Amino acid sequence: MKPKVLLAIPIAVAVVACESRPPATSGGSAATSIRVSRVAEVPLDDVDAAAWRSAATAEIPLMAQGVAYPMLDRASVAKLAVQAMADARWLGIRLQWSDPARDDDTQVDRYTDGVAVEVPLRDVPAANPMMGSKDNPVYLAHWKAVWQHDVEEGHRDVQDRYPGFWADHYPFASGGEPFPVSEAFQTSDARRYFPATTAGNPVSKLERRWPVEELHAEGFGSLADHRFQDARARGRWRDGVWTVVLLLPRAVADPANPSFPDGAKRQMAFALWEGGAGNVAGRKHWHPFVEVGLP
Amino acid sequence: MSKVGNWQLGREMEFPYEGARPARQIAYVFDTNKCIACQTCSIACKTTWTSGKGQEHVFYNNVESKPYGFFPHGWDVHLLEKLGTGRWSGGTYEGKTVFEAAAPNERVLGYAPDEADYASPNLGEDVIAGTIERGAFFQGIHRAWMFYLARICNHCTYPACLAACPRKAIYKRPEDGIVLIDQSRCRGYRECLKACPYKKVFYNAITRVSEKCIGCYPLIERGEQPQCVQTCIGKIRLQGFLSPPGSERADNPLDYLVRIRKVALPLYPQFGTEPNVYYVPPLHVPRDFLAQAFGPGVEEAAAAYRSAPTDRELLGALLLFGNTPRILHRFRAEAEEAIGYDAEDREVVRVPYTEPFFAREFFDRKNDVYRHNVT
Repeated sequence: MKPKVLLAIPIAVAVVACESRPPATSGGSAATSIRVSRVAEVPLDDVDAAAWRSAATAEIPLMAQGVAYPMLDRASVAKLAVQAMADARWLGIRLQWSDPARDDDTQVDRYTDGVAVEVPLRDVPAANPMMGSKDNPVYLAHWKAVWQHDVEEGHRDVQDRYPGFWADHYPFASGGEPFPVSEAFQTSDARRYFPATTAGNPVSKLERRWPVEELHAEGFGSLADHRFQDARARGRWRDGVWTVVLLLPRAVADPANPSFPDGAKRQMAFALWEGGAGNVAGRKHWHPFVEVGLP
Repeated sequence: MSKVGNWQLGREMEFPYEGARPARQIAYVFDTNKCIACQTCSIACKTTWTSGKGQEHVFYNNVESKPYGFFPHGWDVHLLEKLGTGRWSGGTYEGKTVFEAAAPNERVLGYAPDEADYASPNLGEDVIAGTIERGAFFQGIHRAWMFYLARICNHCTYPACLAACPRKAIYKRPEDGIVLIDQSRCRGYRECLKACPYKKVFYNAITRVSEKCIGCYPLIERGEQPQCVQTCIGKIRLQGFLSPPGSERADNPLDYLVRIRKVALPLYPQFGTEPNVYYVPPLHVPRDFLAQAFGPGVEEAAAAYRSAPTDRELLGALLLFGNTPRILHRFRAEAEEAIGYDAEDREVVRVPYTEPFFAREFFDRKNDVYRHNVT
């Protein structure tokens, strides 16, 4: 079927009514740029490392996505606090926001928390912050709470969700009850019943090293994962606040990655999903491009 | 939104994409009057496609007892309530479809079932519509009713799942109209699951993407009917291809049953997706219920079905159900037999209107033994 051309809809740059919640950080104001501090090493092991205390905080107001279907009808997160530091190898982006619950599982009716940054790859003034375009693709780094859980505690299995579950037979599975996915389904025959995993879908990886995915987009519905995954990330939810640190490589051979050389100015847009509020896909919060100045 | 023709509604309707009917549309006829809910179809399907971990709740095929059986729980009544009342004027639906009733921020009117809605695949089995008056059961006719409704993906002409997918990971094959989710591209947004009015898209929490009936396309591609059809011991199912509207052929069994004799009807046509599983409605069920479930053609379908014993052509088409694994592209009703032909127009099945009857003597002289309980 031939998709109809999506008409450009003027973007309302007003902040949609939000539930009032305390800001994740203090001292910020609605930002038009993000200042990057130079450090010897951007910390990743501890999202509250002391080095972040001296980094400037940019307050990014969030809007409900209302351009592409499905839309978010009401924003539930008001703002995102953004800090940035760079060492010789990495551009570190620290993101903080209020979220009353840690939503790090997916089920038919449960969605994961998440956050993403987007950087245009070519002509910045013409780039569309809504997933880019054919002529002006964008780079994205997408962190998800469910992946953070994967990395810290392993891929949730059926018995993790339903401890009393029992199944009479899984074809080609080895071992015995409860047939852990990580052990009992290692042969290609057994993997037949994980069609998306077998098809190489990055969403369906059963083992994950980092809770972030690098993606390429050239418009709505074009999102594709990078063949080489270079970004790193760590996230932590505590007392109603998510803190996520993304490490984006400053220079790699992969042409699908942007470069962040000394003194450069780049643009960065933001997207945020509150899983507990049913945020998924285009049902998200967002903010258009903000300038990021490298030291 | 585009305007597309929906013959089941007798009018044009809104759809997010331009209309593009396949060259031929996979379609099924299920005779509800013959279904005994043995679930052989459900097991055949599950064994073939959804026996993996994370697929425990996934039933591409299920058989539920109507009016109180559902899987997932309440799937149709929830949507009927959201959609509200819609009237038919003759053969034209005057209400709104799931596309026309969508909220401004959605493509399709739908809902996401709760996790618990999948907990009991056969909840409501054999539950009847009312109580039986004291003694009525022993006196013959009583007013209580129920029937078995076998359900699979409808491989809709206008799939709501496809319309809702922001990823465009769902596609409808132009060669046969089978609707598939690209398992390499789906990102598990579950918009399809929310949009499908029949709730025949499932979320796999292990692979974190959506999955649905694939119409047994490996069988279709070699000229065979799907597993659920081939294994049906009640012979209630026939799978074939519908011709585009206006191109019907009287010797195509699907065209004949659905479009010409109109003995089989779509399930909830008012949803607007032009579903392609067609049901011979149960004759004993109150007409109001049937009209809600199958649209305004119920009386005509029931009358046609009742005429089958004296209508050789219709009887011939109905007798082809379950008698060959091959897909029938043509059929012919002769004086004593119905004959079915495959895509190459080779005869693949011949079914007598009356099965040969053999009477065997009670005593087997050859083996010097009485025959007990033998058929």
